Amino acid sequence: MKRILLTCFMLATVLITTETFAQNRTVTGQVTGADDGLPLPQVTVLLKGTGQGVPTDADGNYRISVPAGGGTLVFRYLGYTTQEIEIGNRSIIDVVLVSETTSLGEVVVVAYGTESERSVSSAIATVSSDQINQIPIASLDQVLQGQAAGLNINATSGQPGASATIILRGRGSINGNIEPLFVIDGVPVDEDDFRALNPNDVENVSILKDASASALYGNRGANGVIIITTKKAILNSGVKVNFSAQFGQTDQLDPNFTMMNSKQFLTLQRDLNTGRGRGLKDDALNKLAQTHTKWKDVFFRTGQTQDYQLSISSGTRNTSSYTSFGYFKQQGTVQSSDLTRYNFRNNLTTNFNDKLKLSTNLTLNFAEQNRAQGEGSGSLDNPFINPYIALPFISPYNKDGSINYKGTDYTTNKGTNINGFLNTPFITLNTNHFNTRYNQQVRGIGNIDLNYEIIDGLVAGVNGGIDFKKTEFLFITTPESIRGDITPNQDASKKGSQANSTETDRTLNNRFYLLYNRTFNKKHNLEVQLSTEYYNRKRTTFGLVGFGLDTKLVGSGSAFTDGRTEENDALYYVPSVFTAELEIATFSYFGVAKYNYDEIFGGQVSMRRDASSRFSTTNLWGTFYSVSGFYNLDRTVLADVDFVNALKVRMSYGTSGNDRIVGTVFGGANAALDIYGRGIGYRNAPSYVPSQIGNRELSWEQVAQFNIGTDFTLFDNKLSGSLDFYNKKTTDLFLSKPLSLTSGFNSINSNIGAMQNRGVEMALNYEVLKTADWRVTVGGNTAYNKNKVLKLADADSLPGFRTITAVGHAIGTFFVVRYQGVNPANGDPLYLDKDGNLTDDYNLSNRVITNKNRDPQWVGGFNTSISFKGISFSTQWSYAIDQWRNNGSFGVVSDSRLAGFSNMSTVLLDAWKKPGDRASFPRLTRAGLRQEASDLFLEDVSYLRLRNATIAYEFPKTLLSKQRALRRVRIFLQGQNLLTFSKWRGFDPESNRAGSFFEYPTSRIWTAGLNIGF
Amino acid sequence: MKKIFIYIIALTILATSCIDKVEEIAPVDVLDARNVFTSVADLETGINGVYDTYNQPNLIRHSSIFGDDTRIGGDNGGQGIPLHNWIVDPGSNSQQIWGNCYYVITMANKILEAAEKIKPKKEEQEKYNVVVGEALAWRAFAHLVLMSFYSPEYKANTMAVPYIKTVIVFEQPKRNTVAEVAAGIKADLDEAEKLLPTDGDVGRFNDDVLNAIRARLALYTGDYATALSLAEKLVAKYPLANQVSLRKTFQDTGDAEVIWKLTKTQNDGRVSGVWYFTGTGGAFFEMSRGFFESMDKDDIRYKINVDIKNTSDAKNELFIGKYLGKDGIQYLNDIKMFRSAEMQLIIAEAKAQNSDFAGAAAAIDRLRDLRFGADQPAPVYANLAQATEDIVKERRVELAYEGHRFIDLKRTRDITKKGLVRDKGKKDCGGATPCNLDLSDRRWTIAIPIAEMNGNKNMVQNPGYKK
Repeated sequence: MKRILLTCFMLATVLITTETFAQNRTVTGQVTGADDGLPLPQVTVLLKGTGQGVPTDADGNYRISVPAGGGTLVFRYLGYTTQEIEIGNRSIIDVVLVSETTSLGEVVVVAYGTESERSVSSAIATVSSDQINQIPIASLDQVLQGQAAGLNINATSGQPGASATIILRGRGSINGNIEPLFVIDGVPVDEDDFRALNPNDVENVSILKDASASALYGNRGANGVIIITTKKAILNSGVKVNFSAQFGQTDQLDPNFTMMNSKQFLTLQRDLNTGRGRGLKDDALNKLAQTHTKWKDVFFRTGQTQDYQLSISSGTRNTSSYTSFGYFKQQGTVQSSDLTRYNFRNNLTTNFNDKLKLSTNLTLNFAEQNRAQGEGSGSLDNPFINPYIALPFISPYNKDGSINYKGTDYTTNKGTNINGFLNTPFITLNTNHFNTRYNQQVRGIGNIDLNYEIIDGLVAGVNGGIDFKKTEFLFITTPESIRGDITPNQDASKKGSQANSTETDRTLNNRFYLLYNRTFNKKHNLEVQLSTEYYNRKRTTFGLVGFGLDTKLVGSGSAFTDGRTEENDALYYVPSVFTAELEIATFSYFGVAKYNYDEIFGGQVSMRRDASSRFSTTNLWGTFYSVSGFYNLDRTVLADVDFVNALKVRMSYGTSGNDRIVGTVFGGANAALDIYGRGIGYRNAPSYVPSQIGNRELSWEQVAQFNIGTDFTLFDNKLSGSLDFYNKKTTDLFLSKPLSLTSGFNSINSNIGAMQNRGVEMALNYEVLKTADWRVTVGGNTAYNKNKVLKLADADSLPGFRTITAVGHAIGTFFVVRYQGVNPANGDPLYLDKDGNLTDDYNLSNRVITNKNRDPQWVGGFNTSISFKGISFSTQWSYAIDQWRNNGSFGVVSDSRLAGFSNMSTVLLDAWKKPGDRASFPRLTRAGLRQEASDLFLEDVSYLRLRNATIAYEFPKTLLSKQRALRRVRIFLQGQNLLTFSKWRGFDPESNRAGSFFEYPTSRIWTAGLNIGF
Repeated sequence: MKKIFIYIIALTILATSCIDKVEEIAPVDVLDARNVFTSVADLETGINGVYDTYNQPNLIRHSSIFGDDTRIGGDNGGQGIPLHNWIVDPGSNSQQIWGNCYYVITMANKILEAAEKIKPKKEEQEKYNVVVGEALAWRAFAHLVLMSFYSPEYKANTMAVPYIKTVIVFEQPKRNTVAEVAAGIKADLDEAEKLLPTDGDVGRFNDDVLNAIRARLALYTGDYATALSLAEKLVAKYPLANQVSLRKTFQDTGDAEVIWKLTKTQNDGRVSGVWYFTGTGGAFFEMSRGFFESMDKDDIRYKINVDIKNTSDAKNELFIGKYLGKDGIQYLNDIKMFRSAEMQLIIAEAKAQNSDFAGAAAAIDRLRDLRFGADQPAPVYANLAQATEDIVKERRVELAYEGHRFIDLKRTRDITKKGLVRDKGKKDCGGATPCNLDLSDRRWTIAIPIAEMNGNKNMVQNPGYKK
């Protein structure tokens, strides 16, 4: 980016100096951007056919000499559509440039650099700041959802700040890492933790999809690379201040299922002779049924969101600086769930002289988070279990109207069983009210790049990056809480516990590079880069747990009871302590050469060698390479075709690697070694216990990918888009090779097996209407991916309980007994056996491989935007098609065996009752269906979601120009996840889990806000 | 141009300086196996791991939850239901015992292998011998457990389990016969006997424990003469407890009639976790009513097997009380591995098998007198079936929740012609929970786990199971 800007600057300087002949009169004016109405500095203003031109100044103003007879002015600016304007007799010409986010004129961020989009030969999707900024979702990765073709993003929790799972072009690994590499300003960062980072600082996100784009990140590029570039100020741009604020509310999505009301449920209990309803007479039952609690409303709340952003950018002749401050607070939809974040960023660029340049990016962040207890589990502390199972005939309130945090006589069996299933809603209320699950994180990411131009075109540089993260966790179980009563032990006199732990996680990334960039004969553009890179990540943790808290000092270590205290002959209060340290590293050297002929055709070759600390000394190294090429048809064979503005075809092939053997960052860090752990052994004496059989032969998992694609702009720049086909093959898959258990272990990490992902991606944008006042655009993207396992270890398949990994089928394919409804004669469930015959015998051996998969076949998004003068309305949708999941939550409330303590779904009202019934659900006495590997609860989770809708008003310039302080004022109202269409019976269809079990659903967020520019 | 070279050289130096670092990262919190066992003290640390790793609750779980001594508890949210409903196949409820026992065997083999390379100093010789003896004893005992659950029968030529005597990784061992496994066990025990103390600490292996293992093996494999003589010897040395001292044994305030137990501490899993949520309380399995009502309230074993304090017959809440806790920790107890009572019952069974029915009856009578704290009428047995049925009934009460019930029913069902029968009338079964396990059912033998079948192409599945 810098380099190209600089080139522009120099070009502009050259042009200014040539401004000496044929001047007749002067035209002046201001150039502004259509998207934000801000002045654009450094726009090149050319007099067509003369080579004469000037740049605009910091306020977007220009002044150019033109012939008396007029002519044509050309306004050219990076990232904007070039405009040609007939001068005529005018002497003031103001121009509004339209940014061309999809057309072929942009600068694209690529691996270790930038390129003109015209000469990019890789499949790269770009998401710009206006698609990201101001979306009130705390985790940057979630914000990208639906924004680019081929990105399959799923939020894993509705907790503010929770990270998403991202899969790009299908699952590329079975055991190994499946998520793309994230790089922020040159520093590789954890793909699972964005809670402390500020999405508003992001200028641009570049998604490198094919091998030629990602091969340069060889060791971590196998699943694609997502490069995030933060905002920078421009040289000579003056001082600009932007302020924005928004406020809003977060609430829960509507459940797409119904539970029984009190009367229905008590009647069911009476029929089943269980629970409270057992043996009740009608009037007693009706009396009890007068209470009908909607537990959903008790647990869910409307949370508040606040977001303030202040940024100051300034550019002088040699130095530009972008500084931002942010404050963000979001409450989740349940009590004890929130995120508060403070952000600071400074990006600085300094040119000491023509040759020596320095740029730094530094961000410091603090985030604190409270989390709900037990989310996504069957724990009775989990708030999300209660809308399902909590008994409807119990009131959440005490007689005096306050919330009951203890439970009733009935639910606690007169206080004798406060921790039992029956007391679930009160345990949850109690735990989330009295206990703490808190973390705070300090995170700094810094990057420094210093480079020196040795000779013309040859630059040597050093780039150092650090990502430092320190997270402190605090878990308190207070003495007065229900869980405190049994902590550390029921018989202990002092109750409760406090766990503190600290995790320090730092990444160092150092790169030395030589870059040669030269244009020969004005046509031959050559760039060669050689680099070495060292990456090291280390995580240390330590922590302690203290027991028996003094009620007045809860939260402090002073509250702990001394560990030597003996009661009932037991040592209940012995604190536990631990420390841990994990480290991984890679060393790499690589080179890339790019050539193009006048941006008409060209290509690149790259090679990279990586050594990973995870493998044994003999298998350390992996070698990855890529080749790619492009051809711009619009400049040659299609030059005369009017409707084609730009058309590029490109092709690439290459390899990249994966060294994350078991997926997680530090997992399998020592997989090459036989390992013993030390523990507490017999009678508290220490023990050595073998914990792993290592594989000295383990090495890189390799991905080879072929890609062919096109980028185009057609019909007077109205239609633009891209289309890509890819074929990706993973070989030497990380898989657990099964061992005989008589070896003491069941498997050993190995490189065996192969897998394939093939797919198509398409993105289209169309400008429907564009007049002086109106602009209407629609756009969309879609991606189809087909995964196929080609080869496994010794067996053809690795069956799980409900899913299977089998040769010839996609990973995550469901493997189930086919449920076929209810036998009218006896109410038993019917199944199909392996051969398709009807049977009432449920048997695991009747499982068949289905064509249903946990990952969607199609994912994508689309958007619309309408603007009239200053008013704009836009929507952003996302969808997933043909995706399946086992609904474990629904299974629980359909299992009549649990009816003694759990409310039941209304589907049981239609259960079989007597011979001849054509019922939709088997007889109630046939319980436990949820524990069968059948497809009874396997549901289609395809969905369409209105991800974002925004309505905004931009105050007209004419209004603002009367005063000098305000440069820009915009107000807006927006909503997230406003509409969801899905058959899924739950709160939230979005996830890529194979099974669902009381997760924290994503929420609906409304905000209103304003942007002010000074 | 010179500058460029300087740059390139500098770059190369900086670059290569990192390569060593990449190669050097060794684990910090765990041990590279090559450095684990370098002294006798290390071997002792290793054997501590074996004692700690062996999981007797696996046996207790299978015997009680698969069997007829439990029913689904009031606080069951799905825990253990498949096992209770007899879903036992290669993919479910088949791997726990197999995996744990072979892991224990592997640990023992690794210690034995490491011990060969360590030359103990003179003053270390005794410690060294104990470690090696204990490793051999663990290997023998774990194979006996495996054989009892995974062999269809205990006849000499029946296929049993692989007897693993070396550290293996990719090997594909075949199943040995019962005779081969028995020979392996005996050989290991004989070798261990040379190294272990004769008696002493009931929490560790000694010669008496080895004899108890031999007695149980002999009973299972039909060597009644050996079973009888060893059992008599042990009962003489570890006299049967009276009511008071037996209760103390299960409260872990005494060791009456304990030949071998595994001591459990606050850091260990709690035995009652098999049926209870030990953290939060609440029973997901209770005592079956059939078993509850079969016991005489004057029998001290009723008061041991039942959690008298919390059980309410009227509210139909029947809780298991054998492991209610010790040292102020609820549900945590030492696990009794061998008691004289088992030896006394072996005496009775061996005598019955030798057609000494009067002797068998006398042995049972002696046990009952002690348990009731008063003279009981002596049983009279007319034939083997009658005697065996009564002995198995006595074993049910005496050894309840100690991991015997399933094996006892399994190995005697050909004689008694009684399979596993839950009491439907008392609501111990019904609905999805089956009541009768036929004498010929495949599930009397646990399936070879699917993981073993996948990892070992020489493994043969047990009869009746699909792969």
